[in-house]
Amino acid sequence: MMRRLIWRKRLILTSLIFLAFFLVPISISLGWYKASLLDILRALFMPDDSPLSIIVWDLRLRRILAALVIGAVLGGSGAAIQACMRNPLASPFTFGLSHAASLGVAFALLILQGGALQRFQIYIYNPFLISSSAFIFSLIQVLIVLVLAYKAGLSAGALVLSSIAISFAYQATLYLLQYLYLNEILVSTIIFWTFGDLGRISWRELYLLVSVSAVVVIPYLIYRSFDYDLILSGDDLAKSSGLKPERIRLETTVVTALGTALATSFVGVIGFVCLIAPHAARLLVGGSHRYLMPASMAMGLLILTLSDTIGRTVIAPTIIPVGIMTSMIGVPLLIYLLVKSGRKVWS
Amino acid sequence: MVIKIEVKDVRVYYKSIKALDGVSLSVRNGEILSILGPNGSGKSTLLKVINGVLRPRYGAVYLDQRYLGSLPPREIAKKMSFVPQGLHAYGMLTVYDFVMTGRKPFISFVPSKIDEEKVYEALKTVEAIDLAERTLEELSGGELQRAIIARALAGEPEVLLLDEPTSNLDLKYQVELQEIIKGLRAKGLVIILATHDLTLAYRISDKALMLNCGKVFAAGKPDEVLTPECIQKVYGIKPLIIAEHKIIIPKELP
Repeated sequence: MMRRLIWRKRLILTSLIFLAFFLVPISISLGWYKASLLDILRALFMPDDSPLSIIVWDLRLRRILAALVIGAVLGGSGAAIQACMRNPLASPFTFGLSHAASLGVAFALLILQGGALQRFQIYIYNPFLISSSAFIFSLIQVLIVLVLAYKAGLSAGALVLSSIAISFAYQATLYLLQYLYLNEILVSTIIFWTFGDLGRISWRELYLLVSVSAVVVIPYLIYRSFDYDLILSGDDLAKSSGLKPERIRLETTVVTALGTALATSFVGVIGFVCLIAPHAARLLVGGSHRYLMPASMAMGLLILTLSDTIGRTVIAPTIIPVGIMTSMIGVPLLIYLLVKSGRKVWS
Repeated sequence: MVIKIEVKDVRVYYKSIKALDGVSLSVRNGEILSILGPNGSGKSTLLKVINGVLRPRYGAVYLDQRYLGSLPPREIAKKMSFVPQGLHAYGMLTVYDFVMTGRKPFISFVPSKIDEEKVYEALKTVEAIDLAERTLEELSGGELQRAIIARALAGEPEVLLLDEPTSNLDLKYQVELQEIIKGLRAKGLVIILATHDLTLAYRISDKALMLNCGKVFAAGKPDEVLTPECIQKVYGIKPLIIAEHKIIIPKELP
């Protein structure tokens, strides 16, 4: 009986991963520029100077690879944070990370002049300043959440509530900065940045994101997946099994903040995936993180790739930013899952 | 028989409040020790100290004559399992997955076939095989308690620590649990249970330790500790002890 259950979970997990592989060539083939799947594959594996090769490599593949990596990072981060905080509402974004990152971007653009500094005929340009600023601001928010959780001893509900309140404070500061600077171009850049658009990421940023995700974030979350089951069962049990739950929480929060803040700083705010991907995956493979963690990552990348593909094609040539599409698709999907699952959902 | 667990003059403070004050005890292989006392007397705290989860400010705990503070947490976890008093279930974990977490000290990354077999055996011991696929949220109090005990047994401990093991259990399963505990004692396990159930302590313990306000009020064999005078002084009620059937109940019922 138990073997059957394990095999069912493995089958679902394998299907999700195959579905993701299947979705990539389909997604690349869809868009305003029409081409057959065969031509797309030829342009993909034997690139030349043709317009199709340029579209496939420079426009579509880059954003699809970004969707895969960011989707996996956000899905996995959501599952990890929900387990660590023992709270189904928790995600890096419900804890105010996106608002903190937005403020970080505004700070870098308006006060630090976007990393471009000119003094005494010397011109210094730091291409990672905006990302670094977004990351540092996210980390500050992470520290605030940790202090509220462990020093002030707030309950899970109070933690979410206080994070929402802090998010409003970030938003107010952001508005204040925009109001004081009144620089139309920079302000519109900040607003556009909050939309969340995969097309914005450069190859260099993608390499950095892939490296950090593949070396740090994804291996760490997979490595800790069994430990998250124990943390869900309570700190006393986790400690009696030889774990240090406080350390795991801290590590997880920092690692997920690294992944989500990097992703957010490169492509903007794509918040909903963190919340919905783990819940959707949980309904498919159950609560054990040995299956839930990879399933959440697979679900995250599927949702993001699908949202981006629909956003690119539904009113082409206009592209709807993926941050808008994930919410438009994610909200009804989450409500449908909640209604369908009834009592089974984590409450 | 060799002393398995030894607690020497342990003192624990929660900030400035003294939770345990000079508690000492020793348990040998194949013995059952019951820690008794009213609410707030320090029973659960003492279990946490023995488990290594809580470090005493003064005093020491020894496992197999080795100072517990010098052992890596994973080594302690391989020898000791803890059954908490209830559990707030989160996150749709199935009973099978939950019991598998009891194998954590032996699993570095992915559970092996042996781990799966141990989980199966543990579930069988507490007659919870049919619960394996259900989530913890779907269980009744008694079923959840069985799952928690199965989790502890899955780790094949040498020392089993139980905090209020019979709470949430119906009469039938309370009797069955007594048999399970006796069976584990026969295998040579050390069992330390913190309980309010004086009848359970009277029936199955080899030793009893009565705590009051963090101090040892009485220690020894159950019939030496569970005397009417001792119970009346610690709990503030007159007990009725039916020695023939080893039953202890309050004498004056409202």
